[in-house]
Amino acid sequence: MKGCEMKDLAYLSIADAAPLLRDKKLSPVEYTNALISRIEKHDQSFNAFLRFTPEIAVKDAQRAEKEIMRGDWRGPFHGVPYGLKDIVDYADLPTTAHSRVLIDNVAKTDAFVTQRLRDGGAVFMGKLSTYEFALGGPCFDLPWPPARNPWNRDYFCGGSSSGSGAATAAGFLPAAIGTDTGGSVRNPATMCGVVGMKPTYGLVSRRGVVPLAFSLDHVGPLTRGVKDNAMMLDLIAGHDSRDPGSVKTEPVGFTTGIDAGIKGMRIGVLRHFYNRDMVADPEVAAGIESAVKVLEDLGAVVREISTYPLTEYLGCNRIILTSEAYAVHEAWIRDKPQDYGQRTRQRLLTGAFMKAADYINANRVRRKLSQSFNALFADVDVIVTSSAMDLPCRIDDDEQVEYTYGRQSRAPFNVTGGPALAVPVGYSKSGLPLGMQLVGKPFTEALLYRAAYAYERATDWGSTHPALD
Amino acid sequence: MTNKPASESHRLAAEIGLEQPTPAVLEQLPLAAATARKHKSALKAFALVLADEPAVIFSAEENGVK
Repeated sequence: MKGCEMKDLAYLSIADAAPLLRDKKLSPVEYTNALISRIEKHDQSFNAFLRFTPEIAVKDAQRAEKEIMRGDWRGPFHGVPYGLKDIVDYADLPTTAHSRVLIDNVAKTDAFVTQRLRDGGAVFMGKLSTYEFALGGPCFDLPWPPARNPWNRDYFCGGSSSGSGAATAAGFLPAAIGTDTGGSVRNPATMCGVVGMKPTYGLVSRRGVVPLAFSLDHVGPLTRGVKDNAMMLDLIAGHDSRDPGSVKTEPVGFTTGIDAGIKGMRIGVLRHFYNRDMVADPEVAAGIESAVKVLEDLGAVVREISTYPLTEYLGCNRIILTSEAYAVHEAWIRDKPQDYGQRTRQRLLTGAFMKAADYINANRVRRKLSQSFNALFADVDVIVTSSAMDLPCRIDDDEQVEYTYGRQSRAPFNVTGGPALAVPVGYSKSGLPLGMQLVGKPFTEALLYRAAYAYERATDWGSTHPALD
Repeated sequence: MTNKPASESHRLAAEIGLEQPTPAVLEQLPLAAATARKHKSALKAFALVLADEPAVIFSAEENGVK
């Protein structure tokens, strides 16, 4: 594609890029090189990449170009750059989990999702920063620095899929893979103003992903737009007999009917999560209320709903998460505690004080919460609620980072297992992103994308990008 | 010979089976224990609701028993 400026390519959507690549109007090599230049110019300020691999990217792009030129187009991700959170395996590269503990851990094979992206002809750009083991927080005592928020580099970008959120928002990549155990796809999506999906538990295989908590871990896509997100989920969803949590489902086609609108869609607003159980920042709450009004104007039938208090869901998530995480890390904590960052070690040690009875009872509560929550969908199709309660804070403000850590309403849906989609709803007065969640019953991702796409087209928040200079 | 009373951190280390904790770990144990208590207290009242529920920690159907 001649005459296309780097800025245009940086914020090109996959939905727009795919036909250009297929029809040979956009060269995968030019596209990739444009993003490589952008990353080389700007990422030293944002640390989205833990391991940038331009040499692999150029080879992938050259291969894609040859295949497309001879008519072997593999699908909408052929020639499209992407990145992996560095807890996801890419064969022959280290998977460090952003930790000294795994600094020499070279992956023997691809993770399931990596293989799907490779088979789809996508261009691998590198490994992205995370919180250590997808748990800690922005830390400065690790071998690599934490990612910073493209909207203001003095602020943190949420986590734990921090680099995935930062890289997509900064126009380094159109798509990235993240993981989500207590909200770790949706938090950076909200903090960076992009779209992040935690799919239904078992829809995307976790094989080849460093576990945090076996029964809460999910893999999901981060993109700048809703349709791109659905396209990426199309590519990575599917049964994997080597992940015991993987479910057998027929391919759905998450973009099918995405532009059908939401006239008559029944939307429940779960306000007590953010105006009673926890009180969100007024700008966050106002952003959600504005979004609800837009959905209503688009023809949705909106009503307020309620469930158990947010704190019950969060307590349940934390007991299960810390118990399962300690089961993973106990031997390392015993043998090499000094190899962890201070913040991660603190969080992991909490799990040492969970007893078997606590874990069992949390799982009994989990069953009750899930049944009760899913029953809400007899009366509504989609639920709207908050994602983060607060705006991003300064990355060097330890007190505020700790304060905001638990002030969220994403973890409930790791407990219930249904899909939850973080969508931008505008910007604060200080220019930082605001977000909401759309939540569905299990396997209704397509419905969430339909609602989010209608909202996105009506508001166009995604056309605003951070100024990196 | 008198026994020197163990510090709270050492007591917690013993409770979780850490035989030779580093000073950094020792320092973190009281907060870890307090955080665990906080998480558990969030569920305490709700667990009573479940007193008469059958415990489902092994699914017969999922494990091919029926």
